[in-house]
Amino acid sequence: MKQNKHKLLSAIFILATNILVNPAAIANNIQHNMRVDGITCPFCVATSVKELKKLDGVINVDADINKGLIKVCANENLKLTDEQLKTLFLNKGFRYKGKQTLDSCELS
Amino acid sequence: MIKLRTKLAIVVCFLCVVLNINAAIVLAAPITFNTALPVGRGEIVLRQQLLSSQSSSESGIDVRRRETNLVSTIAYGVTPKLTVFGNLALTDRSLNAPLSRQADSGLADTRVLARYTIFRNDNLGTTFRIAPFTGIELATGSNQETDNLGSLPASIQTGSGSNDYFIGTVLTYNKINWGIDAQIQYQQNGSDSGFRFGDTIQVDLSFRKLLAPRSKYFLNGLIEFNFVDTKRNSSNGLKNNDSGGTNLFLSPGIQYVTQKWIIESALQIPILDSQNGNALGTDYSARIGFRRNF
Repeated sequence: MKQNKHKLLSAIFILATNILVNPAAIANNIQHNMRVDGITCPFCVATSVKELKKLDGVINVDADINKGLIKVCANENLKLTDEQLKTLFLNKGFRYKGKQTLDSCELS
Repeated sequence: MIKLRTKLAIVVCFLCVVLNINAAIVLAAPITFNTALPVGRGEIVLRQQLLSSQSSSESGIDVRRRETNLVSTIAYGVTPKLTVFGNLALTDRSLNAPLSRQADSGLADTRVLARYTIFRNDNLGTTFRIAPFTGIELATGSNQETDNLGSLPASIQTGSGSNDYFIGTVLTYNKINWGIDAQIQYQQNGSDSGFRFGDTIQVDLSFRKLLAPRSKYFLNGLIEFNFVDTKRNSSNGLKNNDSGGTNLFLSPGIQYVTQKWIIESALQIPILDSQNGNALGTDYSARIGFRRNF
């Protein structure tokens, strides 16, 4: 009984320490669906996908060319501003229109 | 539906083999000329092509000129609007006549050009762009090669001996399911040792249709038209009446496009071949190659 209590306290202590040191440890993953105009083929979208994957906190990126959507699954602590995304897509030759954020990731 | 698309892809590949196109796959850009589609800032695209063509005389004498080129092109996005291209080619050229064969091979003239997008209109799954370009064809090939018959003819030297300048505009209207590209280009050739190749005007048009859309790759079919008008060559100011002429090529092609790769092939078939005097007319020109995103 004492041993179990000790294990439970240890687990709580480790969890609490981890949360204090690294708040991202309890952060959820969310999904940003970005509407981008001008993308008409897989080859065109590749450079934008590559650039998004470089961002710290991004877990996965996928493109739905038919809907003009680039889907980004990321840690909720990653802040992506419209201004930042506008510049990112402009540099790749496309036009960022806006984004919708989902509470969870649909991308695997 | 999937079965139908698979069958369609098989039929297209079969047609490629029948037409000696060697198979290929697609992106959203023309195969035989440039596009106005962007190369992102700091991005590099490598294109590698193997081109083979044959020209022959219609004078009744069996004279054939064959040319094979291995062309490497690097495109670099300086800004979202400005892209620079470098074009390096290794060439193998020969002229076969009933009693002689002359040949040359090596580094061909090198093209460098800059393309700037002056107009862009993007919408959902659609883009319309206009991009003028200009460049120089540097005399990196040789025009002084000889064999036991003397100097090789200019048409099989690996280079022109002169720096040549070109200017043009390319226009792209691209949707996901289809696209149109058009280009006009004028090349003014310089002279070396009194010899000057005739200037050329080229007008190109490309229609692209998406044959097999998938989320991760596209298979495109293309029909392209290439109009080329070449003025007469001149030597010490005198025009050579057996040079220059007008060609119109019909170029069916196919492309396989993924996020990283494009594999493509096209066959240029002359549908109008009007040469001056006894100038050789092009029988065919075939190309196969790939593009790679870095």
